[in-house]
Amino acid sequence: MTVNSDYTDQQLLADVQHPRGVNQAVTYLYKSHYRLLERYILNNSGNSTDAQDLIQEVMVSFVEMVREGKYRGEASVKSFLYTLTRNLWITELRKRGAEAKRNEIYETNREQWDDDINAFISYKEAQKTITALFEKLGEKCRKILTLFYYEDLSMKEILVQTHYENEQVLRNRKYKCLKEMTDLVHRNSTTFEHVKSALERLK
Amino acid sequence: METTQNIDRYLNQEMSATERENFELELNQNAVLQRELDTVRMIKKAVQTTALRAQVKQVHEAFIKDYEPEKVLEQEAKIRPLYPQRGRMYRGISVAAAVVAILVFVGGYQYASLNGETLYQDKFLPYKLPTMRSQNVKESALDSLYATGNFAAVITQIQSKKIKQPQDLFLLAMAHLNQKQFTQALVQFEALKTANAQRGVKYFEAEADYYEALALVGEKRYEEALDIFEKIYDDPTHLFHANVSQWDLWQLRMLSW
Repeated sequence: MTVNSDYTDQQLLADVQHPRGVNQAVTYLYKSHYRLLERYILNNSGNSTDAQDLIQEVMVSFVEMVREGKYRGEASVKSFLYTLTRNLWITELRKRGAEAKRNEIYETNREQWDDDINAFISYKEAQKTITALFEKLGEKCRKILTLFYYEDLSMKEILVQTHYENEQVLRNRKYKCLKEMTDLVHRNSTTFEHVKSALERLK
Repeated sequence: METTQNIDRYLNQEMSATERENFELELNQNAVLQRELDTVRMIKKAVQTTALRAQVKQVHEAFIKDYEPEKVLEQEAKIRPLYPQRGRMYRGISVAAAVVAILVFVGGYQYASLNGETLYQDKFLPYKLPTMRSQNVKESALDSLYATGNFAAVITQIQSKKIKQPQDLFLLAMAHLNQKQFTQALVQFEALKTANAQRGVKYFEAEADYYEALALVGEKRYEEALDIFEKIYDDPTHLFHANVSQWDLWQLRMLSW
């Protein structure tokens, strides 16, 4: 397994901004840092499955933090990923009620960006309820909203992939999907408040 | 449905300037509309996260398929010609001679000013306990004492415990190290290793490596410290790998002489 040493942090940060660049960037992060992050979990009461699950979340959070300007290059990507892993793992241990194990984890340097990371982790925890609701939507709705909000495709491009009669029909369908999703969120009133307060802490 | 449509058009910047102005005016006066807007924003982010997670999962699965957990990363050896071209060789020799002269001078100065105390100060990293400010995790009395730098009290409190857990032994060693009581710190690092071996766990393994090496520097047992630092330096996955440089190894070799 080789690592492309010419791939700079700067290039990596530019790539994660767009869905089309994510694969290359995340593959590089896996090849360069997976072993280090895995070692941390294994040395702190986790097993290799824990490491696999957690490192996926680390990668997702890292990409999102970069996109939202929460990673400002104050540390190397490696250090930032390491801190993210440690804090996510502590949160996970805490959820499992393993307080004793959490207390076994100590840190060498509490970095200045820890607070940003912890606020982001709290937001991600709150957001899980909304992503779970999104999974309840029909497949067609999920596809339309994903192509529009994540892939950033135009209605014309989405039309090719979804085979609706015309753009207006597709547009109406998108609004219906969005309305269905907002109704789902409103039916779970605590979800909204929970996510909103987590988002406010993040600002 | 119309509200959802308007919000979506607003967020996607599909409104005209007048429409936008009117919409923002209504937003300021209508709490329900504001809540709807916040909800759509949350949904948009959730959609993005879900899609991103699926994308990362694909990369993860492709990576794990070929991942060999036990294999140590190897640096590719670069093969260089034994004899460079003749003209370049002479230029190279003269440049090398100048570099050697500078290195001898700098090295001589460094050797004269080298001492274990400076090395210890350079390499010592304050060790802090994790805090979860965003969550209400209650800090233990011991954590508080350590966090506030009351190392003498940490030592007293841990020593009074009948059964010491690995984390107690580690904290005890670190408290001694912070007080520059190197012999006692080394005893506790040794006790930690024994406790880990008995339980079949590796708590603070990497941390103990690094700080034990520092305690050995404090004790002027440079050769033993060098062994540990070399182990850390040679292991790219070691937690403290980035904290040990060739220069540190060189200093320890000089001090060992």
